[in-house]
Amino acid sequence: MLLLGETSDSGNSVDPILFSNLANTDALVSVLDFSFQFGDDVFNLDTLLNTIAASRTGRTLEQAITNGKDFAGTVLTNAPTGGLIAAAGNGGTVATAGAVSYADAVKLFSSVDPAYRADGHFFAHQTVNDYLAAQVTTTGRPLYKTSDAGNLILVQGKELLINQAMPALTSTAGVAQVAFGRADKAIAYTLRDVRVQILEPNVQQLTKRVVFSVRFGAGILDAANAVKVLKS
Amino acid sequence: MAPQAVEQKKLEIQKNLRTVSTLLTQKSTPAIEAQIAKLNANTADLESDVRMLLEIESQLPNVVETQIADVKRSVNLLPEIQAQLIRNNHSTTHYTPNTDRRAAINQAFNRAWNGKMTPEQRDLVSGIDTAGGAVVPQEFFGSFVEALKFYGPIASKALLRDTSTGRSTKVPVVNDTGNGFAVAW
Repeated sequence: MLLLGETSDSGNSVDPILFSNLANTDALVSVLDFSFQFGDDVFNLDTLLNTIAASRTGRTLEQAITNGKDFAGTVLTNAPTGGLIAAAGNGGTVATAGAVSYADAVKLFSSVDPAYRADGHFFAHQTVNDYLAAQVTTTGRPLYKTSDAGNLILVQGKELLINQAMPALTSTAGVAQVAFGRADKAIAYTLRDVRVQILEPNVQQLTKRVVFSVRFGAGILDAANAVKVLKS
Repeated sequence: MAPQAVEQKKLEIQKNLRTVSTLLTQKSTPAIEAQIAKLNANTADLESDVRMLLEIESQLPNVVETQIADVKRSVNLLPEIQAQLIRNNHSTTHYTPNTDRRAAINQAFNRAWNGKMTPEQRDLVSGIDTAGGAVVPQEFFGSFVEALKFYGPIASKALLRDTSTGRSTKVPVVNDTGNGFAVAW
């Protein structure tokens, strides 16, 4: 029996392609100050802070995963450049600038391997969603039906999910308008639990400082095949 | 005199009768005479009050009927006003009684039900100090009402791995999509 090293080849072997992606992390923080007076008077302070932390995390993750940026639009140091949209494959170009037709949606849908269509979703900015929602047939009825969750169904029962981190509807060429595919096969991200820390009081300013922090890292998987992007 | 007062008088008379009965048993003549005089005075008062109540009771239906008739007369004027509006080519659907007539109707109703309505009261306006707001206590809702702004569910669709440290994580990927079985190797 011949034992082969991992880098050896018998000449007949057909090996799978192995690669890895390192999800390096960035520390993302957000700060909030409140006065002693506020701290004494406010009710449900814990609930308030946790709610704020959750909302800020959600908004930030949308940007970080989609574009590799923080909420303010600053590029993350360690995240994949351009995030999911930059790593996604080419799903074609719209036929008419500033518009997304049904044929465009089908073109995007068809560009994705059927293995990734199952459990796939369309993603687009709210303005694209609203544009599509306004499309009607020649008899004036809505062109796209909606799911039980209230999302538009574009092609073969696949829902369109709003992603506010994606570009708005535009006539500028080369801008991602709609994405389709399996995001969980395209990008993986790590997240350390969101921390809410109340620092020592600042007696000079009679304030307390709350620091919300999370460590976020992302790695690209089979993004080129799992998700395709339709561009303007 | 109010019915409660009449009842009180009645109880007082009964009490006096019991006293007289007691005194008769004791055969105390001056005391008996004093109680009889007191009893006679109370009886006269009571008879007077009863007569007054009966008179008021007999007049009350007439007063109510008179006031209700006033209301009916005011209401009967409405068709006439509507007819006049139709003659003036106005839509009756937008008809609203003028302020004076509405006030007259309200006044008639108030007269008809005088004594049966709750007395006038002024509600405190919590937002205006001079209208009583200065003494109206305030409360908070027990929770914050959070303003909303949508963010998408992409984070729930991408592959997530929670870590306790936040360290970098290697993500291995295997792609064997180009391979399959062949008849020979």
